[in-house]
Amino acid sequence: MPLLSKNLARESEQTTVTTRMLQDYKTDTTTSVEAGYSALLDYEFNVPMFYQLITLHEESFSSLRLTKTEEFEPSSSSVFLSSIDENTSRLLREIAKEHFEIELELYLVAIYSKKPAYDFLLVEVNEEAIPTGSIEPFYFAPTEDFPWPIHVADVTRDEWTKLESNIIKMPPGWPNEPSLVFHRYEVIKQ
Amino acid sequence: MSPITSQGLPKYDKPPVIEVVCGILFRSIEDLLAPHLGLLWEKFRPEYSTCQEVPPIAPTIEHFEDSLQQVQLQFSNKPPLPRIWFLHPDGSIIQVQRDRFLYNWKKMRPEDKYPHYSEVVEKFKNHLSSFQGFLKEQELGVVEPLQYEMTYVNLIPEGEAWQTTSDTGAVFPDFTWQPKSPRGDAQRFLSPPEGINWRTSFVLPNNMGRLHVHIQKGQLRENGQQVFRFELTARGIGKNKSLEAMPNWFDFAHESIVRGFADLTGYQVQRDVWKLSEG
Repeated sequence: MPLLSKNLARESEQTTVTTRMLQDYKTDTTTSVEAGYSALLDYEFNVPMFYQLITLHEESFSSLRLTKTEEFEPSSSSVFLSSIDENTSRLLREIAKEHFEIELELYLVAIYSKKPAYDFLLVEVNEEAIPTGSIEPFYFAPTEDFPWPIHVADVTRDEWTKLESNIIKMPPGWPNEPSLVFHRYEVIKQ
Repeated sequence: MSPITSQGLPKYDKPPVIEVVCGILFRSIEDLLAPHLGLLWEKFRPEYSTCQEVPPIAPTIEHFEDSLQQVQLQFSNKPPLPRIWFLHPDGSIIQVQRDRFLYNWKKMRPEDKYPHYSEVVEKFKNHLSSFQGFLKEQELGVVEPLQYEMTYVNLIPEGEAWQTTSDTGAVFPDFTWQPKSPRGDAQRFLSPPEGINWRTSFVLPNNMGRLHVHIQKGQLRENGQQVFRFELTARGIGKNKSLEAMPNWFDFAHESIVRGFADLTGYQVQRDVWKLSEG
């Protein structure tokens, strides 16, 4: 099926699209879509029709996608920089270093971050961790040295591999990809 | 801008490149469904043993007629498909989505050597050929190119080439931090910038495409190391839009990127750190 496309002048990152149901010309459906993202309309196949396109095409549409000319993310590269600022990153490295020094079997600390307010989850890969098959973080309140909430979860290497493969899921609200990863060999040598 | 020729192309013994992407954007193959991607993986699986879902890349076509920023509204009766990565243990990736096919070479270990352009583009062409064969077998259609792209990602770590953001000018001479204020005051009110995020583009000769440049200072996710991430992406297709012309476009894109890299980075760093040898 051919893809129909229309060019619209861009006014903002978010564009509102008004559609009208074929069955009821009095009903307008308004959908807001952020550029670069997709929005599925709550229509069934073969039922809906965009009013604007009726004269153009006798087919139905169930999804629309707005894209902008200037694309930023996602990109074709797989190498990304951390979204955590330099100062906070330095503090997190210090915390990771302390943990590496205390726990000799700890070999990797992966740091996940929530935005817009900083909130960090440290997934610590430790052979002495008790396997649970899930990510079960403990909460640590902000301190004077580190003014953000921290959650720490210990996992085994096997659980870490499963987390990377998305077999074990992150707790709700946390991203799938870490913002920073610290390895023992790299942190302790300094 | 002078026309690009292959004569005198700079070469580096220790280039900072850590990833190269070759890709094609084609007319969306609407009959390509999620189950087909599973079948396609079977073709690549002997080498690309794991897979991953990532968000699709929006189609972006270079235009040269006007500068008006536009959004494109696409209507389709198919829900969007994710982009799929087929991952090789050596770090390379095949990326497939309904309207794109890409191949990434990636440096995984410090001792890994960049295999050079000809080898990377050859692998891309071979994998694309396999993908075309798959589309034919499954009677899903053919690849109708809309645009090609080539990306070089360079990582310039803190250390040999630079120490602080005051040294940015040594790496990127167009961004020299002046120690004096524009009025000539010995001390500036502002301290050197804590971060850098510069993005621009250059039109390539004969409207063959556009070179997009992105320089960022930050930390690597993999280890927290301070780096400049210097990305050069050539995108375009030229007048001849047939697949037969694709190899010529990639040769052109490669030269544009290498010359763009040499144009934007400091000569001393090129010579001493990346071991420049004039070709």
